[in-house]
Amino acid sequence: MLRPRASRAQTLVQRHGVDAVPWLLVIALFIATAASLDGFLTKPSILSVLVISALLGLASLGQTLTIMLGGIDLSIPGLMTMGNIVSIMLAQHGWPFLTIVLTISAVAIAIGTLNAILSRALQVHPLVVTLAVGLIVAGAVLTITHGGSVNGALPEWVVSAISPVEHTWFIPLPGVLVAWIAVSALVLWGQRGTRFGRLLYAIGSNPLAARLSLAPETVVWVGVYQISALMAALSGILLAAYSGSASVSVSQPYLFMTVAAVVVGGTSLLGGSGGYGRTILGVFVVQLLTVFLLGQGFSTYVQGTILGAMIVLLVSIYGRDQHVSRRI
Amino acid sequence: MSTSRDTAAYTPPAEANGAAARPGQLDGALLSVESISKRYGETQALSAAQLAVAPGEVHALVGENGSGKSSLVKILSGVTSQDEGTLTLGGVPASFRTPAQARRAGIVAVFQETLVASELSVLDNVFMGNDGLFRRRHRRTAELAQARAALARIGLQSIDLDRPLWTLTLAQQQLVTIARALVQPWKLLLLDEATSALDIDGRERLFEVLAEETRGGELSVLFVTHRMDEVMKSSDRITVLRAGQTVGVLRTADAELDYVLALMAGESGTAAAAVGEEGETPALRVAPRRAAAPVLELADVVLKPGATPFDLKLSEGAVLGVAALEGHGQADLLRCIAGISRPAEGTVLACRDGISADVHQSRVRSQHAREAYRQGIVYVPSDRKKEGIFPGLSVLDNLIVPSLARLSRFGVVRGRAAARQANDAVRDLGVKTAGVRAKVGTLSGGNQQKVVVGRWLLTDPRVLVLNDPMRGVDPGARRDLLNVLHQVAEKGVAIILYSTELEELLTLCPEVAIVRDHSVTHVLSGERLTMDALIAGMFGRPDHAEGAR
Repeated sequence: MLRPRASRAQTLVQRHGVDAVPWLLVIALFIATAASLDGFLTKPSILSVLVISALLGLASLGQTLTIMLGGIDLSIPGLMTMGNIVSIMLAQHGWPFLTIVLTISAVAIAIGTLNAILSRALQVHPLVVTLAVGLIVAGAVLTITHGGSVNGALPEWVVSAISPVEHTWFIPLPGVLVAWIAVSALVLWGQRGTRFGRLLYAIGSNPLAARLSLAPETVVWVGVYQISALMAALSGILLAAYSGSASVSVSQPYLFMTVAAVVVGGTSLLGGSGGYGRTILGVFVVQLLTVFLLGQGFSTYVQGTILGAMIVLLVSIYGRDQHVSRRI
Repeated sequence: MSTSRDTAAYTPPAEANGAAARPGQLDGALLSVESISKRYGETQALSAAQLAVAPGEVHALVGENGSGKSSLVKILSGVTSQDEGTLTLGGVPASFRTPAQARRAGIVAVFQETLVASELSVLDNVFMGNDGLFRRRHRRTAELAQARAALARIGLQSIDLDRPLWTLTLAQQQLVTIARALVQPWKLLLLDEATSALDIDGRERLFEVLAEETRGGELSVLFVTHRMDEVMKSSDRITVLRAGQTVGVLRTADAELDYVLALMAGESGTAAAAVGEEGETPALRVAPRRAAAPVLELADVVLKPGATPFDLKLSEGAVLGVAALEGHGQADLLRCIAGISRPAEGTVLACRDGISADVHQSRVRSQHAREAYRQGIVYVPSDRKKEGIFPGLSVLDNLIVPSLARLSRFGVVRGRAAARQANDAVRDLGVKTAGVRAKVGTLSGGNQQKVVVGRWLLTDPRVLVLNDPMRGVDPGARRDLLNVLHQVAEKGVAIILYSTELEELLTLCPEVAIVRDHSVTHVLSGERLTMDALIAGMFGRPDHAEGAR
């Protein structure tokens, strides 16, 4: 029984190269989880996987774009912490939700601009700059809130938009999922269909050639890091709504998970290739694997080990493919 | 000549099988390669290729881009290994899994890419890979003497061995990689387009050294190049590859250039067509226009503090060649015109409809190139891999980057218009590609260069500045590019072309400026524009270039 399936997978890989790998992983993990976990194939349980995927997917959007540009954004957890704690804090002060979102967005965009300008002006690798900026932001938020001890509540409709059983207008899906689908569609079109997207690929592929082609490098860098910071902060607000309260630690895993989703999807850390479509697959792989391992009764520590091992394995597969194509 | 051609021509392996004498193979060869095949995915890079290098000879390996030269070199140097076939070195079967193994066997390779550690010193770079991992294998004084001797032989006499490599010019860096090979014990020296960054002076000196080395009858050199003048002048024998197969082995003394080119091109006929029916290179010089409007004016330009100021004028449709020895400031000249760098003194004026604008007027340096672009001055860089192509992107994306603003509305790319223009460019330039969606990295070097030039032609330029665009490009693609430049000039675009290939300058340019010591010393045209005058001017021998100005 196993042989024909294996050979079909082989021909898929032969035809599409490593592009087929994340697809196969998603399918394999879905089948494995469904087979090993009773009640996985029910609507609420599928929807809850989709909801946590949407959260990671929105947070990984900026990571994808910064990596495609040849950078990285390690300030994502810091900005998520900010969105998470500050939204609850402002709600406690009785601010209207829309004002909360706009305020946090404005601050996030400013921080994103800072990330880009510091990386460009100081010529320091964004790895260092964003890591530092993320720590500064999270530290500042925790200082102001005395360690995140805030106690407010987000409006009921926001909380319900992220619970797996609700529907949005006539669509039988939670609001956050509808939002993710809409954002994904926009990004998938935009990365090819807009001038910004094409410049992003060009700069990521060869910064020097892009400069000689008069590509507005700084504008693209600033734009990408603004988007990344904004999406991270908004994801932080959604996480607050998801867990119902502010949390200091809930954003921490996203440092690794956003990078993992991008890399597992097959976007090269060297920049200039891949795209958000791959990250969507990577998000499903990461979240399905988590669910599968949880179902097997593995601790979070073992999960981390296995996810790490998978990344090393996949990167070596992707890396080989690129190597051969460059040799010709 | 045609009789010698017949004896020298290679017989296909099918007929040779079983015969006592196998053409393409030699008794007592230093290196022989038999029926080597190599496949990369869908691409059959080599199929049953043959090669034999005799002891004491300088052997040239030629072929158009994609003929399998690089694959063969990579197999010989241990970078990759063959799928089928055998390698024999000094009569003993050999196979190399790593470059270190090949080197231990006596095959030392130098590649076109200047593989240097730019932060390390000249000395460290010369002995890189030749030293122990933790300690020097040689005494420092011995190393110094050896490095100095090797560098001096190939023309880097007075260089400070402690200088970090990045302070050297590209040509000097390439010489360092060659010196690195020379200080090792070698039997066969492999030069894979390792002369591409050198000017004629450097190349002549290098081939003199190689001739000395091989004179003893033991050491051999195998070199791969696109420069046919080098092949005809400096090799003893030539092996021609086409589509992964050996199609000819010739003694250079008996071979005619046309015949070699025809062998390289085969039935596709690109190089053969390039030679023309009589074997003459048809002149592509564009006649100077009468009363053509000026487009570019350089006044009192000083490229480097202390250099002599000069003026230069260019009008519509003019084609100005630039000839110089490496490191004399020709790149600075081109980059100043394109606004990428700024002259020490003087102005670069772009003229349109009688109005002149200083390219370097903005106080923001990054605006200079934009101002030049607004005035229609565009720059095609020399280093295709580093500065030209976006390797992972499609041909289309590579073509439209500078034109994106024009090709989009409210930030949205007009896909159809972009595809139409890219398709037109691919057709006009004769880019050989599966389509505009193919990744540019899968194209051969010559076709990649066409894409880089096409990128700028799509912007509808008024002045096209090209920095050695023919480097590493095969003769067929070269001819195509020359034709394109000719057509562009006839439409009124002014062209400034720097090339290390003087033949090309003579073919295309009615005027050639000689750059020496960071200044334009002569502008040759008409009857004064000859190969001898160019060389004399480049070497600064005024007696030969007398009255050239």
